[in-house]
Amino acid sequence: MKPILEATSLARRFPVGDGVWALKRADLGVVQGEFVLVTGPSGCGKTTLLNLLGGLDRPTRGDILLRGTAYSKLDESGLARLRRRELGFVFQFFNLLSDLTAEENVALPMRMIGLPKAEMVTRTKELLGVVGMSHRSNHTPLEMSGGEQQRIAVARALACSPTIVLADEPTGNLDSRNSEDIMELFRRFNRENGQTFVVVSHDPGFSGYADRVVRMHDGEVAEVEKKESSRP
Amino acid sequence: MMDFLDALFRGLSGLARALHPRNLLAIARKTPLYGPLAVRSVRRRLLRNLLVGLSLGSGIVVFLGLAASFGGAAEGTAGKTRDLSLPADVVALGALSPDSRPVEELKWVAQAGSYETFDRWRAASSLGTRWVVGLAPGGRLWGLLGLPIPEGPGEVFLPEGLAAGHLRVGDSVSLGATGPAGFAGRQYRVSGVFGTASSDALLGEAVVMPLDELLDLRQTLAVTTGPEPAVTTGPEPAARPALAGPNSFAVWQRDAGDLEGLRRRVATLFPEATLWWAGLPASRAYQSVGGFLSPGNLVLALTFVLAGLGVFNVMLLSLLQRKVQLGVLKALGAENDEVFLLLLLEGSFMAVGGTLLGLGGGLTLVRLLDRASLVPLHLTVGNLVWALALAATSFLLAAWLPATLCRRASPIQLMAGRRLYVNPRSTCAQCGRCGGF
Repeated sequence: MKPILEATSLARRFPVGDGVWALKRADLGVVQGEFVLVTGPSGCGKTTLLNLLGGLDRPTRGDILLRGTAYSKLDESGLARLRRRELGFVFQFFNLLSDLTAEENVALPMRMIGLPKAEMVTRTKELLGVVGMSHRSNHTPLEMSGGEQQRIAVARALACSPTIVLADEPTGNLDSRNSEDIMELFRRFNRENGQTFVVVSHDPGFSGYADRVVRMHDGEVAEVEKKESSRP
Repeated sequence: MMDFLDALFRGLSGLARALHPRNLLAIARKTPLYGPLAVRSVRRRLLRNLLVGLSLGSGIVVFLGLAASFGGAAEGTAGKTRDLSLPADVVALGALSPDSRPVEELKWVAQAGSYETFDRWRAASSLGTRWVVGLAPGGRLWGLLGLPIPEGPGEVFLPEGLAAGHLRVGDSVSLGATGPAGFAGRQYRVSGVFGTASSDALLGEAVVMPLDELLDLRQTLAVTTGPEPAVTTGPEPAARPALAGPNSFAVWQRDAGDLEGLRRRVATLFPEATLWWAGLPASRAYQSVGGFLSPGNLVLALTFVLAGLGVFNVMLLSLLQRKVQLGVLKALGAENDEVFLLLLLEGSFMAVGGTLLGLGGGLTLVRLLDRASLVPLHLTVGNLVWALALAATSFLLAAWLPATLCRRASPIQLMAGRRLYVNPRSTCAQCGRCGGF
């Protein structure tokens, strides 16, 4: 199957001191409906890779194609539009907008793409129901626990039915129970809706959720493990 | 330094591009999305935003208070007035004591043909209130001001229009005089009537000219008589003669008046006198207080620089505290210009609030000070326009830099809370000596 997201020879050097290569070389392809787990020790370049895949940062070398669109051909506005329509993000620290309620946080990406209000309201309610947070719709992030905030963040990431959801250590700030819940949520969306996920986690224990595990070491992809058995 | 200039140039050209009508239209289209976000943000940080509004508002209050004081002082200094009505284009000369107030107390004399006007009076008659000039034939500035101006009853010459057939030479007339003690009536005997038919051009003008014509105090002319005729038409003599008694005259003229021409005329009138312009020309004094680039106005502009710095600090603080949130907004797909718009919208709410607060406070302050102070305060519409323009400019510049910093930063930079540099090029971050924001 042809990958919908394809990264070729990605490298990223940060201009700190003499320059630090956070990512030396990474080649990765993600097909539609796949659940990819990127794992590895701290500082191996997982987050850098995810940031590049999400168009949040520009690679020093290499390029990324998403449904045939090369990131290198897009200007800042083009990248922003791509993130808005094609990508969903889940972050380690939830990163909900504290000024907005849970409902408004989920609706924000839909407002950005100009979804009709009725459709937006329906979709928001549906997503809050799916992540089990309907009862918290009018609460602000400060009034919610970490696990609850992350559920809202997942709903927000899925709001515009993105091509790929990119999750950077989504369980890094949660206890084990909430971590399991979030990963279950991902897997449910992956299996029931065919949603594509690329999840970065330093915890190899989550490899059971993934179709493929990409192990990174020292800024390079060290090993790719395909796990056909995990698919239902 | 070059980096800073480069960044400044890029920033200003970016601002110019952002103000292009096409961009403004595009921004207006996005306001329904980001407007409520901005409102929410302002409401959530009410106290901090109130501080921004107060910074700007206090700038306006100080500006208006100072502008009104300077305006009053300028008029006081230069004697610029609208209520001194003189019948000729020139020639309003009067003795000034150091503490005299020209408008109310000036005992002036004006050359009017072969007469000299020695006083002005407001006459209450059946024809209504009129200004009347007292003319002394051949009086030669009433004894070169060495003699006291005679108290009434005395003689007056009346304009033909005022007399209008009701008054004849020899009649008594009651004239009201406004003096330091208030309005007082005095009886005078009519010595003559002058009118437009007079062959004397100045006299004719005196009658037909609107008496509320604006005249400016232009200069003070110093006069002394010496033992020998010595008319000096140049600048102040190196060896200034000793002065005795009333020896200087306030010179009032219409805007186009020619000071040098006037002096020549006075010199002709007093061939034995020494004349020179004393002190700073009033027009220059006025400029120094009320002119566009006067020190006072520079101080006024400084109030806005200070207010702008206050706004800048709080806006910057707001940005630094919300780096992560703004980064998330970008990560979710907000374009750079949209985040810029969001920050400017937030700032605009504060600016509008602060401006209204400042205008209200400023006008109230000026009114209270005007009542309490002996020095009159004078606020013009121009002052208000300037206050608004300066407030808008200082706010725009103060809000623009933080908003620009945020617009240029990448989502990762913001989300990771990294330092932001004026120049977005990586070399600036590599140097890092300025510390960034």
